[in-house]
Amino acid sequence: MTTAQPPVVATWLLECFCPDPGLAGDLIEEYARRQSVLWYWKQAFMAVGAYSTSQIREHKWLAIRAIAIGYVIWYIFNATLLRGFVRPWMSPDTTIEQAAYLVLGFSLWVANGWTIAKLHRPYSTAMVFAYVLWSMVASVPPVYSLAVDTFSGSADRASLALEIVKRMVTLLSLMSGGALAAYRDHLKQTRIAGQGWPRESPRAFAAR
Amino acid sequence: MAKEYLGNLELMVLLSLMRVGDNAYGVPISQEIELRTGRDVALGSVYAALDRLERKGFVTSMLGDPTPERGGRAKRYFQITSKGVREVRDAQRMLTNMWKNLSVLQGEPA
Repeated sequence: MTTAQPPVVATWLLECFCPDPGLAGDLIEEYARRQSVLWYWKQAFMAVGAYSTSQIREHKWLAIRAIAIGYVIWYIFNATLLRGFVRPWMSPDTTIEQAAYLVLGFSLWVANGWTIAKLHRPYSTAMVFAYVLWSMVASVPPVYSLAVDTFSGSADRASLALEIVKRMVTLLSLMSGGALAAYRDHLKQTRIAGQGWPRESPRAFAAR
Repeated sequence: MAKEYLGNLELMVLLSLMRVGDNAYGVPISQEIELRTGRDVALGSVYAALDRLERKGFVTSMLGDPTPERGGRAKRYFQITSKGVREVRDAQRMLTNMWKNLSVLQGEPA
């Protein structure tokens, strides 16, 4: 599969999660030689993974702080306010009310990702990635327990499928919040590029 | 502070950086690694290694001018520092000592 231009979404993801203009430019340059969309997507995903993992390993305490902050935000907004006050008040019975409740819940997850990203610049997306990884690990016991119930016949398959989908959308919402915050920062950096960014390394620029 | 040792990829990146010399950026560095080792290394991994090396003070980087064939993105040029050269020499000495008199590698029975 080939096209003249590299996939726009892959480039966007790359620039959100790896805020280094050199890397995206290098991949675009190599894409012109290789002409493979699959290669480009693979490189983009590997770059996001490698960059985020490297940042988390380098800044372990910051990653722990990001997880703690994410947990506090989840506890206050999703666990306490949403489940404790909004749900009894809304008492979502109809499909529309249930959809509205879900949208509100996922919006809070987007806001959670956004907040973690904003509080952990210039390693914003890597720290959101750390919280996403932690959330994935934290999802294992409840999903496993539900899977055991499903296969023993005490719960139906639809509940298990719904639980998995809900958790996946939650992770996507978190990452979307982080990506949006990083994209906004990226636009800001591009705007002030005339003030020195093209001649300095991203590290020196971030330290200013 | 404890001495930080070079990882395998970091050492390969530093060596190819020395081989490429001036105008070393992500693409020629990864191509040099592929040419010399036969390993297809992802550009993202090369950049992550370069980022760590810059943090340790073994390389410096500078952005060039944006070019249209790169979608208006600049090249990030890398250069090895004297500290980086020293680190490569240390790694070479250590590895040579480890290799010395290894009968298994000389085709003799272990």
